[in-house]
Amino acid sequence: MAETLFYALALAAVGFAVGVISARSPMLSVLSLLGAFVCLALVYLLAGFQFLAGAQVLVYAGAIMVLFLFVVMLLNLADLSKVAEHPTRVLGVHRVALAGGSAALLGVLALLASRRIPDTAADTAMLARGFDELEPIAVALFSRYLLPFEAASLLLLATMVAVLVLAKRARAPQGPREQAQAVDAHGDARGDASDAARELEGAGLR
Amino acid sequence: MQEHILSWITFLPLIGMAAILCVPRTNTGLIKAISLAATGIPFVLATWLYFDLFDKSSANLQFVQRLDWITSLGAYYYVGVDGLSLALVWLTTLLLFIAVPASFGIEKSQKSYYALLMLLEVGIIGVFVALDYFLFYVYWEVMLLPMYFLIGIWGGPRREYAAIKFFLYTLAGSVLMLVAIVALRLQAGTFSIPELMALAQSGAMDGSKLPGGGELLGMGFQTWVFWFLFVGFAIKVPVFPFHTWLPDAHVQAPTPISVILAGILLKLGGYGMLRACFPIVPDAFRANTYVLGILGVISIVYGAYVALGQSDFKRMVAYSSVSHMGYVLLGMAALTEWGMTGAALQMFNHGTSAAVLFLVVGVIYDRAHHRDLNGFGGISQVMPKYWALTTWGFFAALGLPTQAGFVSEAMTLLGAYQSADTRFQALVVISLIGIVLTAAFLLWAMQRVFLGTLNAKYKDYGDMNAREVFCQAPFLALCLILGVFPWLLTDWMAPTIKLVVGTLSKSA
Amino acid sequence: MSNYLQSLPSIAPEIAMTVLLCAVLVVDLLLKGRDSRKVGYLTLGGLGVVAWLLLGQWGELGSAGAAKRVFGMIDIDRFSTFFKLFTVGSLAAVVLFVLLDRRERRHGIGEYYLLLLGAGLGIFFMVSTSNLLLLMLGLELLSLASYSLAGFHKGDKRSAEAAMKYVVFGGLSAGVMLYGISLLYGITGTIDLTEMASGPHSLAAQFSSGPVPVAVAIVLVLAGFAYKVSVVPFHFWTPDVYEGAPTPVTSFLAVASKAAGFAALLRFVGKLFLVDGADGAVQQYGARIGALLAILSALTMTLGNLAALRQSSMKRMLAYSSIAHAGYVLMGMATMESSGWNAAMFYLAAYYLMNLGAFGFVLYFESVTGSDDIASLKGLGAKALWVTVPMVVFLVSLTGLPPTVGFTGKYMLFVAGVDNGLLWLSLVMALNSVVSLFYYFRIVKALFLAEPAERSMPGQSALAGSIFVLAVLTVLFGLYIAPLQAWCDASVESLRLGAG
Repeated sequence: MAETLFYALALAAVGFAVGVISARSPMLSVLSLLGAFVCLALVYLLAGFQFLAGAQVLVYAGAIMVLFLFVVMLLNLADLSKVAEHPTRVLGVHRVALAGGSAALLGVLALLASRRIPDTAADTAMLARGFDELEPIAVALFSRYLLPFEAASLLLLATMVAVLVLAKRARAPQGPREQAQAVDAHGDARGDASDAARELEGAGLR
Repeated sequence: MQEHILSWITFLPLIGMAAILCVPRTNTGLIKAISLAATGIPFVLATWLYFDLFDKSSANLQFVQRLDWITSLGAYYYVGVDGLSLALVWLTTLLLFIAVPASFGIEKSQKSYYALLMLLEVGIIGVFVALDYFLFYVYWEVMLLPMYFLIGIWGGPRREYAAIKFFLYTLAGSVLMLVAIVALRLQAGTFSIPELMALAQSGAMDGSKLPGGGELLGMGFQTWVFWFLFVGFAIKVPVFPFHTWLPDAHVQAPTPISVILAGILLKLGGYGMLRACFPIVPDAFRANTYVLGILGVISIVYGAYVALGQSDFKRMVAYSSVSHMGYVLLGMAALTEWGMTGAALQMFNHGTSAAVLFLVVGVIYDRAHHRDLNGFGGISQVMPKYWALTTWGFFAALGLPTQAGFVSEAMTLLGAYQSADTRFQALVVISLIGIVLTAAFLLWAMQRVFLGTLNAKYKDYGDMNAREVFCQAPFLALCLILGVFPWLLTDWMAPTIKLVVGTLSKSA
Repeated sequence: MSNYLQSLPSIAPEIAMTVLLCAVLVVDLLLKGRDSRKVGYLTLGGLGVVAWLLLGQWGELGSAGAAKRVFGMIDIDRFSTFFKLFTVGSLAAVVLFVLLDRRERRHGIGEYYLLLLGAGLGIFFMVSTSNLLLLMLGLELLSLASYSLAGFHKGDKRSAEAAMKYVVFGGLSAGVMLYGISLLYGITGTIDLTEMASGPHSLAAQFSSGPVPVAVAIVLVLAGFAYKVSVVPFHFWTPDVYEGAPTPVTSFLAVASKAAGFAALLRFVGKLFLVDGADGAVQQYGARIGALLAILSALTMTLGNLAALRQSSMKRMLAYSSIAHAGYVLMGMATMESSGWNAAMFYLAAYYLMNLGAFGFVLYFESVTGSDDIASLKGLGAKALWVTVPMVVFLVSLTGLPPTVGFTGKYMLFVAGVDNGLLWLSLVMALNSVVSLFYYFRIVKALFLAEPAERSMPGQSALAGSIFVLAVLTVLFGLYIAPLQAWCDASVESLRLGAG
């Protein structure tokens, strides 16, 4: 029973994920992502990780997705749909085909592999410790995994700056290639962001 | 000074190069003077070394210097000379010294030109004196870059193509050499060429220290090492079928560079085989002497035959080089003392006669700005001195008695005929066709350029000036002197040759 | 907790980097985007401090094999210190390039430096950890910073496209790698490489019961690394991203990011298959990985070089050449012997010098001609000899001719290959360097062999000076390799590889 449910949920998650990148409207994309998150939360539940499941729903499906929706609504939808419609235009057909082929191959490999993963005692030991409780997670997070925790915070900081860089409206000149050789002394010549920049903003936020 | 004399000869041009780089570009007089000094002093030193300091009765390596260099790789700064390499060092210093005044006609960025010429000399002399295989290889490659620029910047209309073709061919050969050198080093634990030869004598070159017995694609260790090294050197010689870079490079290069290419760079290949290939993998060499002999004969006949068909004066001379260098390979492959001596002499003598031929082409090209053999005619009437010197040069090249080429070619063929392998007798007979063809293309060219009715376009041409005569004279003189007194070379080379032949013919 | 406090000095360089990163953030905010060059100078100074700390750490580690683990997941050994120094060096060079790039804005680019530092910090984690979680975090930190750096000139279509492609391919490969890691965790119950190699559920123990899952997991993780160091068939992103990204960023991706990928790959393979006392089954498995790497190496160098032949843009050409060079380094790795790994490390160091120099050259001429087309260089060779002659040195070194560090590196790789039964691969590499000569020398041909062109050259003496220094080092380390070799040897030794 649990196994059937797991496969159903996993399949649904993959289906939603495909929906994220294939949907024509950004709104549908975001909603598919939401669906994928919920499926994952259910998988966590199935494995007995209640806390993780809760966090997944609260943080991802709740907070982050709402934010996403806000942003999508605020942006120019017409421009975004152009990108979403034609992933091949940006990447080239053969590369998309290659990536797709590799992904399919990986899937087959993964299936092959997972059928033969042996049971390890570690699993049961961890389950016995009660992984769904808050306290062991907190202790692990702030002792054994302190460093990765800090590294993750740095990762978020860098990501924040990265997004700012990409999303910031071009207050400064367009980028040096279009610029004349002499750099403008004040560096705040104004100009509208080009199509490419807008596409990129979409990409950075999606 | 005396014990470091080889290093002085090698690196004086480098000092010259540094000095040239410090001189302002416009002061061409000073640049030329420095170049003359930086090539002249090594020539004087080499002469002194050849006639006075060197003990010609010994087959030992002399003026040896061995210093630590890259200890972690086992590479030393290890130099020394024997009779064979000393003769070639001397020829190099002479040729480069003559190349400087021969270049006075060049107008384009002279500073870089002379600086590169100096660097080229360092590389060439380095190869002749190096006794450490790593050092040998470094010099071998250092030579390529200046040559690339000298052809590529100062060459003829198709210089870009010729320069990269020269570079690619030589590099293709030398990377194969590098793989072979690495394998030798791992097998023998040393880069020292004399030590490698000694190990080869004791039968230690069997690939036993390499995984899988050092086999590559089913070939035994010695076999593939031999062929890799041989191809590396054969491209330089050049032996048929690796010769196709040569006509392009020679034709496109400016005259002094063609002289250096034909006079010295081709010898590096022959010298490399004799010093750093055959004695190190003697078993593979013995197994393949007949193949090498055949390649030599093909080069002789094919080179001469193709030269006959050329209408470009310089191209004809270039193919004649292929033909002449074929004797070197044939003589070495015969594995007799006569053959080997003939090969060594031929290397030296081709150095002088080819230099003359390219200078001859240069003289007429500077005036007419074309090299079409059919476009001249009757030049002898306006340039009698030029005609006289050219005739002398042609006779030297086709190996008339009293000229040096006669001695070396005769010795080579006789030596090949004496070879223990009787199949070589047939090769000698075939190569006689090459001699006939050589005479044919040289005499025909002479007829077309100098005899017949004078082409009116050329009636105002001045004869050779003093500088041009000065450039040709030493080589012509050498052709005559060594034709009459070949012992001036053979006495120096004999002990070395005896040793090499002895080690090569004795199976381990 | 107290032992964590005691371990803090061991990660002083990381802490210093973090402090520097925060300082850059704050200073940039205080400057309100005016005169970002001040931020650049601050970054340079800070990197100097980090380098000083790292050198201290290197000395402190004393005997070459010394290593200690802090926080249960960071290995402080000469291997990681080597690569951290390497990273700081390339970061400094890249920051210098940004400061000297005449076409770069002077204002409002403080984030440039911040992102570079973030990427550097990611590398620091990557090269020193044997914990797959931290490895993944480091990798992501590096990748995310790199994505936005590649797209930094967002007004420029090529830059935007580069970032987009980098994100898509990067995300895919990170997913693949993460999947491999999760499989490894499922199999062994640990995410620590040392425990994986020797614990109760070690990989060795699993070989007998089921080799397929292990193989799949390892191959998936290797694919992630292969992407980072652009090994065929995971190299598709490289030319587009290298071409589109701002040139200083390209040099960062080509040098520091690639070296970091190799460092993590070396540690991953080393810890799992080459540790002291590994049993027979593990060694056999390692040999198979070696064979796989050898094949990848041959493919990578050949395809990289052949594709480079057709390029007319210098940055694209250098991108393909960097793919080829990844193949060369892989050859050293494929020997699965410490001698080969030394050679691989040495080659990476050589690659660092010559590639930084080559990109410096590209930067110099981009600001003169406005493009990175080889054809645009025609006849400019004599105009700026202080830059063009060094470029010849770099190209000679990239081809692998003496007397340069590239030749010494290539020679050491040959020795490692021939000595470990990879004679065929040495031959492939030898022939490849002939091919590479052809395209490298197209630049030389354009510079010197064409008729001299008339063009005024703006003075960029500081950039020219840096390029010249790199060229001097390239030749110097070609003739006198002892120090560089000693550093590489000490680093590999500290990985404590077994006899193999």
